[in-house]
Amino acid sequence: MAGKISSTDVHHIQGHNVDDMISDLPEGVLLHILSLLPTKDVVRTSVLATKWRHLWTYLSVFDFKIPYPLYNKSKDQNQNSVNCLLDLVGRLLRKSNCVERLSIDIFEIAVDGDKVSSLISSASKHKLQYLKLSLGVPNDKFALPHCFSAFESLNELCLGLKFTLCIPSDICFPSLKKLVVSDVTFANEESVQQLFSGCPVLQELTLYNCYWENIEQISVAISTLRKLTIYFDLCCVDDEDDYMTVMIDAVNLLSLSCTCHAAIRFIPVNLTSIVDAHVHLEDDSQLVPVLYVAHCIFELLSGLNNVKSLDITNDTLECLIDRTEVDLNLLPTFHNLTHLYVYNFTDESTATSGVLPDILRKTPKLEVLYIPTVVREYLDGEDSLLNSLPCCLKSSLKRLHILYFFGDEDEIEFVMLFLKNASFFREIQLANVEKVADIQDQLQSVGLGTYVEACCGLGHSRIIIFNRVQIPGCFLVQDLCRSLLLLVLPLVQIDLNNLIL
Amino acid sequence: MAEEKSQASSSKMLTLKASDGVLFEVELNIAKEMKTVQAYIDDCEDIETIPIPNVLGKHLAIVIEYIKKTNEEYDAEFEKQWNMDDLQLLLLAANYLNISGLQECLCKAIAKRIENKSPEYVRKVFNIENDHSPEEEAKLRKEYKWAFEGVDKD
Repeated sequence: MAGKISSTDVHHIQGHNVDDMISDLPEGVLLHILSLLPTKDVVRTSVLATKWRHLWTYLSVFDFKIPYPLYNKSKDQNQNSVNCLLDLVGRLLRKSNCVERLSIDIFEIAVDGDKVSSLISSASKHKLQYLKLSLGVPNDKFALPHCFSAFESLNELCLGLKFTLCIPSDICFPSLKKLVVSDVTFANEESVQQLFSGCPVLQELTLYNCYWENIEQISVAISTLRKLTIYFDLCCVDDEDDYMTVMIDAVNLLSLSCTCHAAIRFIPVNLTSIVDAHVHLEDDSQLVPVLYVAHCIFELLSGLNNVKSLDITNDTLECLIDRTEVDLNLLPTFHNLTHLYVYNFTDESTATSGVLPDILRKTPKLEVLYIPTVVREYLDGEDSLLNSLPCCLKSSLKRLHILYFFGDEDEIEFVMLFLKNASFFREIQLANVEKVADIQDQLQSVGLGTYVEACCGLGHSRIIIFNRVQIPGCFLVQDLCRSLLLLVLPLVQIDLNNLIL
Repeated sequence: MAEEKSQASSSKMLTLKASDGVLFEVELNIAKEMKTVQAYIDDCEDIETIPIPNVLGKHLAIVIEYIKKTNEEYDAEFEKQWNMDDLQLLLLAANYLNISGLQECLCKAIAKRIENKSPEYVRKVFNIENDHSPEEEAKLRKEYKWAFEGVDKD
């Protein structure tokens, strides 16, 4: 901590003195206290006394926000507040030279483009590492100033300029590692390409709620990229002919997350390094031809076949349900996939998609599987060829998690089927279980070993069904505990049937 | 031989003398957490009593106890016991004695107590005299209007 009081200074300030002690602390200590306060508080200290007037400007981290308009004020008054804040920030940036992290976050209201350009220009003179700009209204146009290229030390940028952005061709962020583009409207394909090619060392890119006017294809071709998150408005497809293509060419990409309308076509190119992927594509509009959607999803999944861990929603799988449209036998094998999580985006307890058995035929190394409910397709005795048990059951599957389990006949049959046929199986976890005791009884009555685990803080319990036969070690530990208890507590009356281990 | 020596030094006791004459016997390793005291010892090895002319006995006691007991739980409860005057005096003491953990704890405590408070409240709590002219203050309040919206009522 900078600054230390000498003993002679402090000599004045012995115990009984109720004078202004705080103002006599070394500047470094005072600044440290200020750095622990929100920016609003810090700016207010300017009026405390003349000594404090400029102290706050020596800080290096600032967070200016007007998150929503004040409802007891008129639109003009709100506009006025916003302009006043932008002027304040402008003055700070001109006076100080040590700002390192700056955030300006203003609710949706028109702002003067010149003021914004001037702010950015003033900011370029600092050694900014982090910058967040979230302001503007969608219908206004704004040209990113050229001085953005002077941000040599910028590591992280959140560009939430809600305008229709025009991006200069020489834009360059030499040190930028993380970029979040949020609520931006891109006027044309060139803008998008210029922005991406201006980030030579980019590692993380997030595209959140952007609007692509008259844009048919965008290409995310960034060789240094490790993480890509795409989150588009799930209802943004309004014109049937207006489907967009997103090409992803990132050989070092480790993590991909896509949440958007199923009409968006992803073209994965050379994603050989990919480790985990999260996919939620849905089509609520029902305007898009089912065949097109099915092909898009098929293409995306095929391009992700190197992945180790995959989160995918039931809604996405449901788009592939009609087998006459797309032959899932043509899906490549997912050689590295060990963890597969299937879940519901909206209604949590919707049944697991009937497409899952087709997917599981392509996952020979699967170790952990999460599903919302049991997969009834495996119980159809008739079409046994179509729904034969997946090979990973015998070769690698260790754990199965079922999110919703109600204890009916089919469900118990499913559990028995899996346990009987699994070689490496350790356990099945049943998550949201009501009437825990009843279901435990049912399971135990068919010879399954179970124990209950309380989920801390969630108010419900999990039932774990362990594989007695296949994993003797596991079995022994459980039974050993019971035996020990029998030895140790012979005189105590305990109803062992209700003992939860 | 080295073991014996280190055993001896870790149980060596030191006396600290507060500004009001109160004496505190502390173990060497406790005293060394105060970098100012450490520097004193480095300069004069055989010293047994170290004068702390700026800190009252009452506050030195609190500081020593902090050093002995500091951990996450203790720190969280520590600041609640002291009023603003004591917090400031403790911060001055921690600053003089150069104990970084305690300084950090106290800075956080002080910041917490003035968060979202009006300038009038902050002035009162710290006894800061407002030497702005009314015109100057009005001008600042107008320029920094954004910062004065939504502040806690005193």
